[in-house]
Amino acid sequence: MRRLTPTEYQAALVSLFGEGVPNVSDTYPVPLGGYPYSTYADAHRVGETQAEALLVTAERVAEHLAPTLPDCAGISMGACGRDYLVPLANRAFRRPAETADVERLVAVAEGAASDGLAPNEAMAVAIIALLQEPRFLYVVESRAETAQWTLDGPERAQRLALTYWHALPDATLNTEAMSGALEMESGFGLARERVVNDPRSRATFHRFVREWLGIATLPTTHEPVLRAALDEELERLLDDAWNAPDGLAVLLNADTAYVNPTLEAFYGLPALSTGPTDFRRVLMPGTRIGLLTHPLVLAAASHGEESSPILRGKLIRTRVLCGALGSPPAGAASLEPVLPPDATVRQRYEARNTNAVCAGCHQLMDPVGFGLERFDGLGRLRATTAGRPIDERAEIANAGDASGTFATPDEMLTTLAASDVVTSCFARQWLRYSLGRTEGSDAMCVVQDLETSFRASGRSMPALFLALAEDPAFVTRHAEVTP
Amino acid sequence: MTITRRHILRGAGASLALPFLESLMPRTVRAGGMPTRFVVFTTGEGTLLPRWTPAVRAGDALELSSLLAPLAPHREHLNVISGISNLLPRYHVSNGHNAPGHTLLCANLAETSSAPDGTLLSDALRTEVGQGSLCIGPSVDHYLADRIRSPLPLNLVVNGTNVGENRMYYRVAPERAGEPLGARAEARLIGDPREVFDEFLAGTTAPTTLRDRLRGQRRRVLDSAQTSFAALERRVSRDDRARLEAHAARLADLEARLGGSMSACVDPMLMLPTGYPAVGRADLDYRAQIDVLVQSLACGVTRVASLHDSSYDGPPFEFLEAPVNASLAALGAIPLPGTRLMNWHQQIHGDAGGPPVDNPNLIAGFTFYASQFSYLLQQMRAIVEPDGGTLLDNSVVLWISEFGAGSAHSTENLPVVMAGKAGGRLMTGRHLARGGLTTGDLYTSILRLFDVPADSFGLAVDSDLQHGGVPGL
Repeated sequence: MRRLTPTEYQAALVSLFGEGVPNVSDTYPVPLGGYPYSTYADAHRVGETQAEALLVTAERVAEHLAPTLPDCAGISMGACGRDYLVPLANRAFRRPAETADVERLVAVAEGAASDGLAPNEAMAVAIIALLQEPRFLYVVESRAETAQWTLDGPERAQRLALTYWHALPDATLNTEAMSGALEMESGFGLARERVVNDPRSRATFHRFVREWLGIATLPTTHEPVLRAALDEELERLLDDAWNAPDGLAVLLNADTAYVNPTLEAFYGLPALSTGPTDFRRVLMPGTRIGLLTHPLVLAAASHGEESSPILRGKLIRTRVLCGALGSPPAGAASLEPVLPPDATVRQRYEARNTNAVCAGCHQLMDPVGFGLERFDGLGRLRATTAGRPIDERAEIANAGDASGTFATPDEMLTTLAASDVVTSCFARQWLRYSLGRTEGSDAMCVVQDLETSFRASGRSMPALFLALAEDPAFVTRHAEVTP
Repeated sequence: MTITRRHILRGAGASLALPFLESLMPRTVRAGGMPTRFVVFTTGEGTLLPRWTPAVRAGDALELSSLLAPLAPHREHLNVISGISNLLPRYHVSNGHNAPGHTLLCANLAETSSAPDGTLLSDALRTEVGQGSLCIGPSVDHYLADRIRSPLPLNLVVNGTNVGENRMYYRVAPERAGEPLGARAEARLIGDPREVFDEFLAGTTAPTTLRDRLRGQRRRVLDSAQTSFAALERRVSRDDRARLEAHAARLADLEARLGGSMSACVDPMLMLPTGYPAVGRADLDYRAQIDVLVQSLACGVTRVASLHDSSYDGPPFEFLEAPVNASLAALGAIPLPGTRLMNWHQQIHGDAGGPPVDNPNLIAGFTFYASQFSYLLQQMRAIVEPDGGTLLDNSVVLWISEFGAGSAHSTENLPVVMAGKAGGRLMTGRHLARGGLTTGDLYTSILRLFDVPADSFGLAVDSDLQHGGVPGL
């Protein structure tokens, strides 16, 4: 069971209270680091810091709303509270609120009013309480003492909306949930197609890919104007991937770039763009080979302005190939070979490789990262490193049909883009992102189903998205699954 | 004290208006499980043990001794503990007073006997404990406050509003996490109740901004959330339940920390006793400090506070000349036998006034201390908290001195009184005769009453220092 992500929480506020609601991204607790995706349940553990942040965030919202809340003129606080809070709780909980839940919130409003708060302010206190409710904060699906069950209508609506939109169910989904339509295959089939085809699914795809490649919230060393332009470009590239018949090939192999004057200068292209908002489409063969050569991705896997073959190799090994790598052993830094300061990264790698403790993992990472050495830490093309020619010979070992030795990044990334291992891995990454956990033995079937559907579709992204909701596992649950 | 009456009215009114009144208290308190406040009250120069030590009666029944007679109205709220010793002075080079006083609340070494890493120096390397020496470990009040996430303790003194180095007697050392031996920082002792009020209480009047009004309802909000979590916990899978329980526990912590100021604190006002301040009127100092201390606890300024008599020369006792004023007499104070009590320190040691145990001046002085402790308990019982119990019910209030028999500088058989039911966790009305135990044991038991895990508190280099607590506490 996971808690709402910051994106989902903000979207929920907007759907409950309207567009004017404050942006609380700076106070809502951010997911803890160290997990593959922000959706992972363990990234949302609540310590006292997080508990206080949840309270303060809700108070901020309530303070903003208080002047607009009902003044309850002529009716009792209890009746007024019920009128206002019942529909609100129904939407906030993604299912009809139970009487006890509503009465508890009404009692909060009545108590606050008896302390002398004006009715609208007492209602604001009830909203603070509502926003602490577990049925609001958590994606609740389990049942006590039940081994296996099928999601009911409201749970299906919740699952669809949160998975594909990172938002609460809309009015249509709520209607379908209450009518029972979502519990019938025909009704559920229509609903999931509508949800996946909604532009909000494409936005979710954007967030997924950004997290997949480690650039979701990353501050980079790029200047703000450049960073903004790179983000804009990435949006367009991700739209291309969403719309393409083979979206994965676009993600990993397209030579497309979108450039405004800032990016023309950064990429060393002729200044042909007409202004900051004019992102013209250009082809940069050999320089742009899919997103792994996009400056945001390259910079994320770098140390400042220094490229890092280790981080880049690790990114490809773990995120693109779904390989497992352990953490560096305790005291790893003390094993680092002592070499002259001007030693090349490859010399350092080879020295490190003489130690079996290091070699186990570094053989799987560094030689992959070498393939991107023509890009510096900001993602700029370069001809030399520290006065020496670029050495970008690369090797991918132990990766099935993605294995090989490569003379250029083009060769390596073309191989990756065509690899079955990579195709399977991408489907698996989407599953992890949407499940909020690493798949366990329970998910073997859905993993295979997803891979098969993804491949059969020619690797279309919307098809991959839809395949998840078409799988029986989307609406069935097993208790106490240990990933 | 006007505040008292207002609090009682507040409690009564609220109990009529709010059927779910008890839900306003933290869950832990409601369950009768845990004290919410800790108060330390120290007086100097020990006591007259033959007149202080209660008789041992069947079933630990408490029969108050003559020096404890002013506590009679609160007998059912007390645990008197005899036989507790402070063994720390034996590790120190000191005059008769400094080591006992400086180690009393920390149960640990003063820095003059400690190596930089905190270990005990050999005899030859120890230097003399001075007025300015600090203990190397935190005093129990600061340690507890840190562990229960209370704001810093409020450490108040009487008998000297100008707390200079020479008047310092009890070192109350706050723990500073992250610094090696960082406990050796001096706590801030406040001698003037007006300073306490201005700094901590003046701002807690009726909230004037929307944000403050909303925040004033935090306890209500958090209690509602905890009720909801508890209800949902029963309806989900085991894994999900564990997650909800962990979250709910943090809500309880948060409530204990942030939600304290809702109901028991209304419009705090500085109420100084008539005539305060006046030279020689230590009784007015006590009264003013106790009033502001109780108000601070009721208003959630902190959950831990202390009040210390800060000079081993004792307070000027001329206010005890007969006839004593009516309010002191009502608290059980007795008049001096006609002459002024001069030079308390010399009389303690029998250098003046004859054998201490029969010295009527000393009897009057120690009885005065008991009357002031009695006043503290009276004021704490006057505060009705939202759970329907009193502030005293929800507290642990410790009265202790650095000596047993002050005449001999003895740190054995310290006079220890613990008042309050610790949120329902402690039986009271008992005399616990516990020979062979130590201050470390006493503090260990107190920490455990607050659910702070502890096997010992303070120095543990020798086997007779720590016994894992006081049986019966």
